[in-house]
Amino acid sequence: MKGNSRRVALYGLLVALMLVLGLLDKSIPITWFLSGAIPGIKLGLANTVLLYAIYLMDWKSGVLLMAAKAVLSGFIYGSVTAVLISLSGGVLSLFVMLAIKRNPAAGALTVSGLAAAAVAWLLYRGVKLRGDMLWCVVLLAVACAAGVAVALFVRRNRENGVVATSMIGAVCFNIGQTLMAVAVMRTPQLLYTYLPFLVGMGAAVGTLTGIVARRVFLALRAMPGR
Amino acid sequence: MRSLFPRRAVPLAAVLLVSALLLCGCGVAKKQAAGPVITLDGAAWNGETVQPEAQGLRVYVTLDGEKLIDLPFDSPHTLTVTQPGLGENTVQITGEAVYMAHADCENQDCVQMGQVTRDNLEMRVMGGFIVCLPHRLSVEVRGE
Repeated sequence: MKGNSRRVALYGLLVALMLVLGLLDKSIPITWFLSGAIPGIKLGLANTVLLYAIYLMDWKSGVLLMAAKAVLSGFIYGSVTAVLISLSGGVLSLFVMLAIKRNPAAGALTVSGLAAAAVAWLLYRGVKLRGDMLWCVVLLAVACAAGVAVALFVRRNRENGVVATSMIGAVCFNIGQTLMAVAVMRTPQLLYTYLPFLVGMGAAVGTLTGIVARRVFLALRAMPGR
Repeated sequence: MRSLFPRRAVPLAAVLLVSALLLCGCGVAKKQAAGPVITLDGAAWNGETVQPEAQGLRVYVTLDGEKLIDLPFDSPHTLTVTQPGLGENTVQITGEAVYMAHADCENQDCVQMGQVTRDNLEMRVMGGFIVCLPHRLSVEVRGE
């Protein structure tokens, strides 16, 4: 096949895969341990495709895929607001992932730092450590530990950075998404408890999808890995 | 690739793009705002404050950051906010809890967000908030 048509076919395939994975994301309830649904939280399997683009293609294809996913899924499932929220998260996470790709240990440590800061913030706000808020703090503590662990793995060359990049990407996606939601809704009070929870959830979910992406890369034999 | 897009420029580009998008978001909110119609307990709301003498928690219903109406938390009410061309939300106040009883949007996030009660107010992830993003409507339970 000629190079150009091959590329068109590959992009088509990847965009379709992202949309299907996005649909799968919607149908997996990952906040079952909470008392009510929390908007904007999903497994983020579609992000594995973005990781593929970042690691095995170039930044331009990453931007193209992210924008295509945001706009198309917005038209299929939602509204202008949905497109904006998705784009805001996507842009922030994609650019941070591109920037951190060459130094993934720093990314993982940043996630740890953000999680620690979120715990400090929640305690400073004086939240009651019961029910959902207890889960939130536990989640953030686990995220903090996971960030340090991943950073150590990367430093000792037992992990090639996909998991760390995925973690920071997911956290940034959630931050961008929340900022846009607050800009549209004009309710900055939401940031007090919602943003810390999203940081913790992003770290957890990013670790999972990062592990999935790493397994996929290894199975494709596309990347020298361990 | 390196010369076109040096690594140092990446964070800067991200910040610029995200802030541009955020401005877009604010713009969208302004542009789409149409006059909402408020129905309280089955009749058109006359614009008067409901039970201003009631003490304690109140329920604030906000559209695009501007307060539409506030109601006492302790007395039962059914509130419907209709935005022509956009959609409809029904907020149920039972006296012990507040929840979104109905919304005609696609994602139904606000309906599934559950109840806000006196007990869970300080341990919900969303605090005292129930939000409907597609309709940009938020319901908040807080003291005066």
